[in-house]
Amino acid sequence: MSTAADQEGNLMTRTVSRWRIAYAICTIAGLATLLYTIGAPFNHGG
Amino acid sequence: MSIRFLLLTIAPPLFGVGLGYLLRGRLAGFRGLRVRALWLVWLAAAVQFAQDSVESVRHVVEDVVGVPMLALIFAIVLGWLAVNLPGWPGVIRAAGLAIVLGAALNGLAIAANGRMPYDPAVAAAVGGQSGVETPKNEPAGAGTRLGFLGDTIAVPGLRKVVSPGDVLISVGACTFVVLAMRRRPEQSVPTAEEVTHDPSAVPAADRPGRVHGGQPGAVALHDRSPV
Repeated sequence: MSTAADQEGNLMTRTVSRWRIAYAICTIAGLATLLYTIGAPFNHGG
Repeated sequence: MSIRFLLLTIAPPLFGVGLGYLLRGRLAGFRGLRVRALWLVWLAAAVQFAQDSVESVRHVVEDVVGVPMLALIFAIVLGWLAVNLPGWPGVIRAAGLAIVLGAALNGLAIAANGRMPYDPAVAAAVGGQSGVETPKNEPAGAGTRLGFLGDTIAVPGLRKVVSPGDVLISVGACTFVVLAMRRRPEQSVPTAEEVTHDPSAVPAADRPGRVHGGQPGAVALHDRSPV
């Protein structure tokens, strides 16, 4: 049986974990823009 | 921006995520990897979008102010890399340097020609409109300089043509994601703030599994004389 403190701890762990995943996704999205900005693929008519 | 171009840009980091999971990495590996000033990347993307799609902005910046927008975009992204590279661990820094090298190769070809030259024959072979000039690309011709750094590599599945610099940027982005995902917990130390949610907290030890060095003047128990 979990106590209120356990539940609060689990909630905090889940929140921190979600923030880390969001942080990773933001970084990956940033990396995805590199080919758009400093890359120069020919992109016409495709 | 077409769907195929979107796929081309997101493919390298997404491939890195897949490869990272195959190699038993996880997204949480990004924990502790400081990526500073990510807003600079979004700013560069916004400037690139304006150059591609907002004629009035391009006219003001390039013709009135006299600043080539491509130079501005490269300066912003290279600035972002300069802010981050010194703080990244060795192998991830190597991935970052591959991105810098790719940007430099593209930048050289663009600086030498004004736009990135592409091989019209390769563009036609993949189904693109050869001979077309865009804000970023122009067909290579007799007067093209450093043509080998231009868009000469066909990506038939996506009907695009990329440059050696683009390949380096893609490989660097993919490798960055794989290496970040494979970082072990002891390599990604949570900050004192993460552990305690108290910005003024001082960590008990510099790394998990280590013992705090103690405060100046504190006497260790084993040094005390028996009573």
